[in-house]
Amino acid sequence: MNLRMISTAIALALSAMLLGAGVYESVVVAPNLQGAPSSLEHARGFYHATNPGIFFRVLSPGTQILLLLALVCNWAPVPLTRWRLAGALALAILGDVVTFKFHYPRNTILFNGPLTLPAADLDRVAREWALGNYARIAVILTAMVLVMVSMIRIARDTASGEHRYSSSSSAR
Amino acid sequence: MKTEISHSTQYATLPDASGRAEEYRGNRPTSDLGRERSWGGTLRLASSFLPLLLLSMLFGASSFQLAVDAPNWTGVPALERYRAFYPVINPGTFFQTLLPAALLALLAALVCNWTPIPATRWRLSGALALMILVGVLTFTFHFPRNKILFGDPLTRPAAYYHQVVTEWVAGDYVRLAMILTAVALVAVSMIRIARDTASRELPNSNTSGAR
Repeated sequence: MNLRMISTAIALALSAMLLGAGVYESVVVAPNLQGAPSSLEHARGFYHATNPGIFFRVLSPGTQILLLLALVCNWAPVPLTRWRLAGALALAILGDVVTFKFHYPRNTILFNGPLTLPAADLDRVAREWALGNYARIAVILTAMVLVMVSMIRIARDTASGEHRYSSSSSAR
Repeated sequence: MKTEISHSTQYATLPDASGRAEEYRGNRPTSDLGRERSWGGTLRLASSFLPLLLLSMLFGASSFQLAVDAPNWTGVPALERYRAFYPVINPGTFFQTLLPAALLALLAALVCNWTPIPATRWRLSGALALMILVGVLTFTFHFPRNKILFGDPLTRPAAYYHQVVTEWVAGDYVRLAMILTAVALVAVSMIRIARDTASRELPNSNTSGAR
């Protein structure tokens, strides 16, 4: 294990956590936002101590910092890995751009502003939020696959001679 | 003028493969040798990829629940709101799908990697055992507490529910630690498999021609 591998492995774990939490939101939280305004009142009432935003505002920048670190550590050795990690970082940033531009305005309507809009409009906003979340999941999944492929490449690149082809070696 | 170069001759003198030159000499093209190994290697590697993805997702979703949901279970009114907020689908549905999927993926990875490297076999077995333990812990420890918090009528004093929530959270930390250990075991296995199935042509980074 070296810094190249460790930084990429941690970036992979964090992006996978981001993916898991994103899928959880899509599968568990989003369907329950339908049925406004009562569903939204329940959501506002329940998330009184912490809310999903707090979780993602820690995990998302953490993932980006670790991706940046992995990119710095892997800048020189293999250009292909560098571009894959750069792509993953760009996608992670894109995920946040989607969050800020698309989800934040809808979060304000669903979880902060007065629930004065007609129920059909609130349900439409909740549906849009869920659709946007699928796009965000696709972006994070692509980033994660790029990091995973990079990790495989780094593992092979940093393999000592005896680790390769162990099936024909004494390393069994 | 036509120049003919056979595959075997073409690749026989790679600059970084001098120590293995003997292995490249033969009647069969080296690309065929690589292809023979590549299918099995790809299957082994792909089979370790899926459980890593699913276990990491499980870890992320569990962390989300611990960090976002659990702190809001403060008192009877909060539990009532929680119950009211999940009329369509609840977290149990999500975890009851993801955990068996992760277990199956781990089993498939174990089967695909049973023979080549004993260390990888035991690491994957360890990860599978840990995830089975997670299931056992969920059934025996969390399910009874889930029933008290999210199923039964909320007729007990607030202090009782606070105690149950505290226990639930402590149990969830144990569950998270086990999932994280399983993730680490699968990740180390994947790295080992990636190295084991590395192409002979893949050079060390500093001499890479594949840059």
